Amino acid sequence: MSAFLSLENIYKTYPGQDGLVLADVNLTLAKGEIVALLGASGSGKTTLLKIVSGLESQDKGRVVLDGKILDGLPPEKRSTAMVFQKSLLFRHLTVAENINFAPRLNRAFERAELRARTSAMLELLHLEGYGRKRVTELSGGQEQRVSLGRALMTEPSLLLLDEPLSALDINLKWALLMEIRELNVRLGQTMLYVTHDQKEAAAVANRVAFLDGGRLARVARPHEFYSRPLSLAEAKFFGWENFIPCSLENGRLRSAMGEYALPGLALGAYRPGEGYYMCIRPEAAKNVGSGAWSGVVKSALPQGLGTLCEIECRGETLKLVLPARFVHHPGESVSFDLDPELFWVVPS
Amino acid sequence: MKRARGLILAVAGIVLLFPLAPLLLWSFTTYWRWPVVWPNFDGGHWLRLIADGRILPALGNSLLLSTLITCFALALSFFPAKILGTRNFRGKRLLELLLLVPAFIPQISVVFGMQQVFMKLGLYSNFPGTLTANLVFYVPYATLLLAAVFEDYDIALEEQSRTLGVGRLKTMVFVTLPAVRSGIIVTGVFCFIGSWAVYLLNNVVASPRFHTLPGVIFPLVSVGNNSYSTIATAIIIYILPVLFLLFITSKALASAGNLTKHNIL
Repeated sequence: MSAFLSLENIYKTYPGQDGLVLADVNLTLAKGEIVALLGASGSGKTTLLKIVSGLESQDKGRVVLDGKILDGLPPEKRSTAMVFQKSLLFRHLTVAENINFAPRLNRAFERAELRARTSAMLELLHLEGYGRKRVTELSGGQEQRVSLGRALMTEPSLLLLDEPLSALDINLKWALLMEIRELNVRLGQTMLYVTHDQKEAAAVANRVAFLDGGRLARVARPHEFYSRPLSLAEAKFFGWENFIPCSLENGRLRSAMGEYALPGLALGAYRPGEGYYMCIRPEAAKNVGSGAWSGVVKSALPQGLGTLCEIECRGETLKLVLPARFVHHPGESVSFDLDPELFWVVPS
Repeated sequence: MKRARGLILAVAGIVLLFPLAPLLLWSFTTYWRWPVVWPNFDGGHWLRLIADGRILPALGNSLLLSTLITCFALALSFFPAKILGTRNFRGKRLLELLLLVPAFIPQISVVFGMQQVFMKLGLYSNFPGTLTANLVFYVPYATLLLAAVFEDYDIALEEQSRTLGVGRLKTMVFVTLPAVRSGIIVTGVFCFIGSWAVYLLNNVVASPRFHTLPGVIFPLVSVGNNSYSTIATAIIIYILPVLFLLFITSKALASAGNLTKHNIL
């Protein structure tokens, strides 16, 4: 894979703030790829995006885009465009004027071509007929579409998206995620997409870069984070629950809950005698009512199709999602099996 | 709702403009006192004041002076106000208090000192001196007003523009200025009206060689040998430019919510 964008050893601190905001971040993107920068609040993902865009400068390291070193260049000279969490539309302009804002001011095209390109962009974003409207007349989703179109009109080498859908309701968010993917396929647009939502990252990105405390913990395909987390932080971020201390002895995992041989786990990567956490996904419960495991329900929180239950079992409290067709009340006994495919082990 | 708003505007208009009606009538009469009910209309006072040779040059001086004070005050205060309104830094509150000083301290306590300094600098009783003296008061005033405007301004709009490939200057012209346009107009109007009415400062620093309209009209009003009609005519000449300015900027004044929110106005 040849690198189209290359972030090399990026370090960043803020004055008056303890510790590094970004530490030794290395990341590459191929042309036409979407990479999601994922992490909790304060993990440094927006700072990294701002460094790429030129709105912030790094203390150390360099940013190379399409063979050109961007360090020291102002944002307007970088051939990147950014879409922010807020749509940041220019309220004094119409939808069309917002969309062709940058090429119009930079006289990038002849007037007729600018008009044609604006119309094409409106069509691409399903905003035909909105060109002459004031942006104050748009809904939240339409505003974000215009913001996206305004960035795409500059034909950037790299599109930077900073949580562009986080303020939208869930249905609109998924619809726009599909559109962003579609735009990526149709235009071959390279994108760096910041989000704190792992489902959003999994839906939109070819690869996910997971930032943990300013360090790039891992870059992998989205499903690998879900099925094979490498650290406790990763496991927690990607929806794993039930972290039970364990160790590896004679090829088996030993914990307070008992000994297990997990066929899906490549134990060769783990070393005997070291501490680990056995992680169990909440969706691991099956054969409810007839399984070999049993416990007492401590609390039950309905979640639509399932009920998230805290179950006292073998000296541990497990969080498991049980099918909603079974009614579970605190204090009741419940039996179940656990799907070994939804077990995983991470270093403690 | 729309009807109630119209009614309120109509009442406000009557209350504000009603006092002007007798002035306007008086300015076109020769004699209109009890028991005369129907006055003799005559435009003589207008002609006499215009022919007087002092009013028109003073009107021109005042128009030029207030316009330049407004322009300079806006230009000089724009960037400091933007920093004050959009950034947090150590000493910001102290700086805001210092900017309030010219508004708090009575002018009379400083104008005579200014007169001495301006005499030494060759700025006494001339146009540049009068302009400079006024700017000492109106630059901090405009800075405070505009800072309040910038407190409601989202600096991310500029970041957005620049990441789209638009340079600093174009961003300022096509993003920043339109976003704070109403606030700039309101600040300008207040600087113009404030400087239009300056009497003491101009009297001390500008007289005797340079005259502004208040400097000519106030003695005319206070000297007892003038009729109501002459005074009314002079006052109409004095307030007409301000009314005209308010009229052409009324839309911006109506949207000055950000200034009123911060209790600046």
